[in-house]
Amino acid sequence: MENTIALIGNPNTGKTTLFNHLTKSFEHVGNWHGVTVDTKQSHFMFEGDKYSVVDLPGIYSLSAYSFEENISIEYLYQNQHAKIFNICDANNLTRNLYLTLQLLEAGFKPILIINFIKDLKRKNITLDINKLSESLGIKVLCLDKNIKNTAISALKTGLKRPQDKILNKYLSKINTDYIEDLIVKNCDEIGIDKKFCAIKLLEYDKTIYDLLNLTENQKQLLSGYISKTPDAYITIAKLRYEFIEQLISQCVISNKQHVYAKYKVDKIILNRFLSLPIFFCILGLIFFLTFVGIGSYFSDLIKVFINQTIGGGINKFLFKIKAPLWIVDMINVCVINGVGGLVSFVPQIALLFLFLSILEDSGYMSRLAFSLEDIFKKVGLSGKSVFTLLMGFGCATSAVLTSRNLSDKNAKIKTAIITPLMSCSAKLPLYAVLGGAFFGKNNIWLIFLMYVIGLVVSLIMSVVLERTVLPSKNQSFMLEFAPYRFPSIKRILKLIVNNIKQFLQKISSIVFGLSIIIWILQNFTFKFYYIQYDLSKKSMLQVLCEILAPIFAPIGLNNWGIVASLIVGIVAKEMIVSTLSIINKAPSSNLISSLGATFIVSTSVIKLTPITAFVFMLFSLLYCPCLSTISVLNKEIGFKWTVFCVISEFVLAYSVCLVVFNMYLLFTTSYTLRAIVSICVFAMIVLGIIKTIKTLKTKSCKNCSSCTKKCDKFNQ
Amino acid sequence: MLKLLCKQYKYTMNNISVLENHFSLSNAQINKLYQIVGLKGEFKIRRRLLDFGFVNTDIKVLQKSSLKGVCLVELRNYVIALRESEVANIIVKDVWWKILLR
Repeated sequence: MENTIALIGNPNTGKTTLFNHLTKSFEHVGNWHGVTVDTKQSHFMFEGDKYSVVDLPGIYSLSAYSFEENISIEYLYQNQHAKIFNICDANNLTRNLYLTLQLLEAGFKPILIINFIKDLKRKNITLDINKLSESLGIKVLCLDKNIKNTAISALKTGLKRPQDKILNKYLSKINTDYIEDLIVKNCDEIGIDKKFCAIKLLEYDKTIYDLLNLTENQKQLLSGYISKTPDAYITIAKLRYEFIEQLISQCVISNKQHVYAKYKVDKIILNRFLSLPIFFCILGLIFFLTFVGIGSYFSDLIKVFINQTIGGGINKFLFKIKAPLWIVDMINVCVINGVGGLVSFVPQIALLFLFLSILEDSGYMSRLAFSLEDIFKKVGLSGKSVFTLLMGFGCATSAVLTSRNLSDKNAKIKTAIITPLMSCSAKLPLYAVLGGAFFGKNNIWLIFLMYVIGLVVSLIMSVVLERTVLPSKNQSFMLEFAPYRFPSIKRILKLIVNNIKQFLQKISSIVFGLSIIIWILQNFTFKFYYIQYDLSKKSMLQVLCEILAPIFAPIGLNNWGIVASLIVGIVAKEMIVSTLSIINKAPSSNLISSLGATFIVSTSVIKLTPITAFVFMLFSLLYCPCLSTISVLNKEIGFKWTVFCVISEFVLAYSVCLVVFNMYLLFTTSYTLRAIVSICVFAMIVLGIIKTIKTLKTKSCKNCSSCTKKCDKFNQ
Repeated sequence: MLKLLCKQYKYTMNNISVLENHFSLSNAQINKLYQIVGLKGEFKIRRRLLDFGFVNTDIKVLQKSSLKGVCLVELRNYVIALRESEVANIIVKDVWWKILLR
């Protein structure tokens, strides 16, 4: 426990990058503010000593504002023995040192590590590190490749608390004697400097206020004292900044006064009219490259390799050893089709993550949040939700976690609920299979349509939530702009490899295991009789799913095979395609085309028409999130909202499909009456739900309990 | 107690005497330099703005978003996007003489 290192600093200064460098781990980093939302712990050995490192979410000051900032601050107070590495962005020293000063006030002994010092050289600014170290009274280092050596040797020489002389230059101007006397006992109990506690109380800091455990009497005296000088915290901030400005004028030599690098690209990207079209162009380009261009070329290569080389080889071997029929069938269906078919999507998934990480690293995300903020505010989200939603295109499970950096609780819950509606990479194989089978060359537009539908429906759902159960308060939106940076190729390659590894692991464990279970359920009756010998008997899966199938009749999916794949899809969305291929017994050549072809053959279990295929895709886009996402949701937004999310998304998917399918029936077939009736019923249900929620929400007055209208009495 | 204090505080801040040449940043012209003289509005947001360094410094509005809901503001060598409701809480004054001096 002696050698715990905590990484503290402003957001987007490279804490996690340093963490990865020190411990050789691979945590997610990105060029936007608030990537890390939880503490991460790892350790490394150096010259025989063990050092454990804790990565904390970025904070701007020791007063918390959002949930993830509170995590860092509470960690600091609870682990006073931890050695602190305070990481600073050299481009923005003034604001970064504001946090450092507070750390010093609190009695910590941080090592200041300055990142991005190269940017200063480019701007012709020189920073006198020795002088900075001298006038702050702490060790100051530059972040470079040798950081491990220099930082550890600095640790070993022992850290000193800066002399009070330095801090007293500005702290003495704040009169805290009265509060100090009042709380001195409580401070000793929790072991935090009393002057610092007093200052924090003057700043109305809730964390310290709760930590101190004041008695009622103390609270009253305190509030009485503070209300006399309510402006104190402004004075404190002013004094701190004055001190920093003085410090910087001594240590930094620059020619220009304003050194913020203006980017010419920003003029186009942030343009009032161009910003949205540019965003959609970028999205379109990503899909085009992933699904049509490079992605499909490589995925064809893999398909051929798996089917011809591996599949053929295994079959020859099985034929040679004269394996029983059911083993041959199981291996063909589960291994070569179920698992192998999904492996061919590796290039597409790799490309998707490549583009997402380029977007993340370039610094475009914060600009996007800026230009989408107007629209997002109207639907009840914050501009910062863009980060979560965009990550949702990759994997909803990790995306939901990032919703933490929203300061408003309701906006956070809303963002978390709508994130699973994005087309994540696991839904991609289904689009490719069904789109390729039924829509041929228009396939790419169809896939793009699915992505857009996901986005639009999620925004609509957010509006409904905003109007009914989760109205957002007048939330603030403060987003620092990340500088443009070139994405590091090494990191992106590592990230892609990591994602592919995860994908393959998932396939080889969950998907493979479930495939075999499904194959058994589908090929044996309840009396464990192999079905292939007598095709007239019903398998276990068929019996079970036929009970549920009628529920899906109104949306045209009255088929036990589809029901089975949808149920399995809740475990992992990749399973939908592999279940389809198991149930339909797709011949093990080219999965996409052959599986697609089986939907038209009359002998196969699942038969689809273009419209039912479309409805199927739509349903699997919108219905319940997968199990891992549900568990993360449960952790993030609580059990109640998770249940709400799962149920509401199922209802949403069902009703959207109902409308689409019946609209189709209305215009094309003779089922006009049925279509009209079902759409009317749907509309009534929706209105009913909205109305009941509204009546639940409006509180009635004390005198008249049954009334829900807003009368004069109510308005009083 | 904290809530009570905030309420009291809000009240005193809203009665702040606004001098003639002091105005809200939301009325400021784009790409012109101003100096921050004070903050008003909700206490929590005000403290947050202070953490970001909105005190005793020059400030410039770089741009407004398409529906004018968000402002892009430059101060202390960095850029930050703020909602119009927060920008309205920032009181600034002209620093035309500063430009002349340069």
